[in-house]
Amino acid sequence: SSSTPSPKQDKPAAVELKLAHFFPSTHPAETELIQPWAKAIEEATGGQVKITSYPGQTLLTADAIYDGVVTGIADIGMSCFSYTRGRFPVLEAFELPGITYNNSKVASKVAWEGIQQLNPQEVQDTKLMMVLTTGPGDLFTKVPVRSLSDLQGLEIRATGLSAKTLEILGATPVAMPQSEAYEALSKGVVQGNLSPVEVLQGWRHAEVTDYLTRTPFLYNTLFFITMNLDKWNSLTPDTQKAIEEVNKKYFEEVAMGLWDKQNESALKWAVEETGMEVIELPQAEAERWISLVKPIQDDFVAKMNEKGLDGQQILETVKKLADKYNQEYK
Amino acid sequence: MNPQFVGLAGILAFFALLILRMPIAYAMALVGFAGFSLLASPTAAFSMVAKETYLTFSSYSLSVIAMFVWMGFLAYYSGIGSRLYVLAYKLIGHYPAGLAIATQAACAVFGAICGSNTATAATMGAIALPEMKKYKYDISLATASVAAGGVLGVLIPPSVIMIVYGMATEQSVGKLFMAGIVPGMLLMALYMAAIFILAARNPDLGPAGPKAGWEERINALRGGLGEVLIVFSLSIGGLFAGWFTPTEAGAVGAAGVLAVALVKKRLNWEGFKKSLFDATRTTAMIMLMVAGAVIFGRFMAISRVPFELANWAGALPFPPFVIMAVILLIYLVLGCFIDALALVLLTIPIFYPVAVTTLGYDPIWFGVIIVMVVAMGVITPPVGMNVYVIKGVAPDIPLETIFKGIWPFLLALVICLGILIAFPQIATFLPNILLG
Amino acid sequence: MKKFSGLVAGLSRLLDRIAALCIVSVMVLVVANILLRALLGRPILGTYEYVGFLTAAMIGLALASCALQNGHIAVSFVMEKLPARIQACVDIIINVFALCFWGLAAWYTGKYANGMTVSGVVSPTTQTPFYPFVYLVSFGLLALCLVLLAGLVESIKRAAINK
Ligand code: NA
Ligand code: NA
Repeated sequence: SSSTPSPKQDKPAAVELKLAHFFPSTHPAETELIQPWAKAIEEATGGQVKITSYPGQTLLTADAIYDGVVTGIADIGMSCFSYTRGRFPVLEAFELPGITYNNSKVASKVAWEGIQQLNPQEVQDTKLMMVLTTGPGDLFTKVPVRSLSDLQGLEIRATGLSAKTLEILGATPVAMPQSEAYEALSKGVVQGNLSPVEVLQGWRHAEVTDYLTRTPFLYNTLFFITMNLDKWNSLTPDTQKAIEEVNKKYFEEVAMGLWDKQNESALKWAVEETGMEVIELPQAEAERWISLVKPIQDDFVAKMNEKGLDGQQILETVKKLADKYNQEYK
Repeated sequence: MNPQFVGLAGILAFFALLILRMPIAYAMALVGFAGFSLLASPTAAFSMVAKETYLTFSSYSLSVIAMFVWMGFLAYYSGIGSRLYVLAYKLIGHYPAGLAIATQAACAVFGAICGSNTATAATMGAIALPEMKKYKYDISLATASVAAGGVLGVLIPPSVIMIVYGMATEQSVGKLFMAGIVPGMLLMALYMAAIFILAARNPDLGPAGPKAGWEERINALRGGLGEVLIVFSLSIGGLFAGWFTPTEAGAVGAAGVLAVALVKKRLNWEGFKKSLFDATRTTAMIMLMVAGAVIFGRFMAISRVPFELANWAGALPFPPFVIMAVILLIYLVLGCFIDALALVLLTIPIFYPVAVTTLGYDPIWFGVIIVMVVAMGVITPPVGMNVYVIKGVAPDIPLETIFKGIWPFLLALVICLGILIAFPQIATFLPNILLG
Repeated sequence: MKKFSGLVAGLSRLLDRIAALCIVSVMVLVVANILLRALLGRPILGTYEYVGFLTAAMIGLALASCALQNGHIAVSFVMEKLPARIQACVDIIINVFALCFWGLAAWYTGKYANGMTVSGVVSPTTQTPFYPFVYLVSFGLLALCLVLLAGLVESIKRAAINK
């Protein structure tokens, strides 16, 4: 490069980076995002940066990935922020119920831009490369849920924030790992699940549920792709710039819409192959749900204020961005 | 340093430590750590060891092992297991090795509640071993038959390994479960045949008892079956009625046995305490070994040995069935020194695309085959988790005595595998009929 | 020295008792959750997280007692064929390795727990902090080291006797 010539004029040794994530090796996160993105980076840096993917938790367990990147077990990691709750308090704003996201494009755009604006302290210990989201989640159940009264006392699998959301709506949240949900649904231990529609096909939940109630205001999950800070700082400015450009391109063209594509094909499969019935809540009914979950947002604001941050401002930032991008990506 | 070279050197170092009498769990963790240090950094390696140890110990799906192990010891100390075996002895004890054959049926029934091979081996070991000893059965046959019977725990649904496979490949867990039923029955029958043939050649392996009269049998039935029936029907019934999940079934089983023992006044405070301390000891042994296997697996992943093996196998210029045979052979070899669960976690993301996407094999069939092959690994030396579990339950029996008895059962497993490869429908027809 | 190994044995047994208590708690908790869910429709939301915590504590605290009873399985048929003195010497080396390794592992597990305190990681549903249980596992590994140390002293004695 012209600006920073290496001391000896020959090429520096290529940097090899290990990327850990938990998605199956056949999942689009690996085949449509990670693999092509890694290849694009290798090309953009003239072979200087080589990324090797370790899918399916072969290198790190899902909830150990972020810290694994900080401590250098992996150089890059992709996982969910919510797997280590409390570790990313500000980012919980993007997963709050009561904020409508039309699709994962909107939710991803809001999250990524919101993080740039808020620049929270909690993600300063790694180099964040991309944040994408599942987008909204829906309720899929064994009995139809057309109104709040149908939901009362219904056992729904949910963990984390979603458990609280369902509790406030009058359902009975049952916490269990996603890997147990299929069996639990099939035998009727739980009557439903609150998750992105992708799960219907990816985890085959459509085989064991019959109704899908659209609730684009109840759920969102953020995924990060992030890099060890020392490793990032060891790269030349030119290499860094080249990588940032690839990141931007892949965020716009692949990552932000990745879950939409999967959600659409999963829904199509569920409806056509398993005869799932889709239920749209009337506007007034949806408003009732949204007003019920409002206290969770208030809780969030109060918690932020306790930490000495402006909770209301963080929430407003997210809402404003959501309004803006809901207009842009219908 | 070449990572694959470090990986292979690590395997050799592991064997050396085993021979020098280092506990297996320590050896796996230590070599896994050392290799990871070399290929990443010592800090990263220690951080990995700390995280994986805690995450393994706190794993919700593995907590079921502790419950079932305790259930086994409760059944033993309360004499409930003993009564069941008195009944079995009265019914078929006059055939050579009759109790060992009955034990296989018991393993299969228990496998319908319990999803883990280690827990099945531990529970059945705690119940069946003392009884077979009492009736002067050959200790090698007795221990090996329970170790091998544990395999039925993961083949007959529910099954932890099938859940992990389904998770890693996005396949239907329901279909996988159904696909395991008939092969599980087949394997049980083959095990029984193996024991029958062994005993026919050498009746001393399982000395035949006197033939019991019908009155005696009915008395034994009254004394033994009622309480066991209550616990089992509660567990299986509750599982199918949707009262609880397979992971919860362990606690239900332990609570059931405890309740029956207390109501019938069969368990005193001493026995209760002993059952607990045997359970903590055995569970600690199993879980430290699982943690060691996970740590060793991380080292294997970073050495890229499995990745290179998968790439190599996938690119072989042979017809698909030869490549499939090579893949299964690789699994058999890896299974010799990596525990089943860790092996599936580590290799399925790597081998699945080769087998299903490249070679075009049925994903459900491949799942059943993989469960069988890795389950074979739990009874092959040197690292055979089920054999170690039996050793943990019966500490006074030398490991090599158990391994010596394993061969006939291994042969039965190989035959079962061969039948499944020749007639894939055995696995696939049930899920295809019932779930399309 | 006798006093030391007695102390170690006492500590291991004490920890094992707490581990036994954990196993009973897991059973009671899971069964109570099933009953409350099936009969009253009011499950204990945190069951799945508490079971993880209690199981981790149980295993961590039982490690030392398991080692004390020689419960961590080893392959011994090769070593048994060697003279007693060589056996004792090899045991010393193996024990030193194991001691160093688990000692450092205990230290790093403690560091991991400390990191969790600082970053404030809590369980997703009930928001229970993880770190107390990670500290317990670290403590259990430390107790395992004490048992290994007592075993090391024992091997050294055996090596000296068989001179
Ligand atoms: Na089973
Ligand atoms: Na093996």
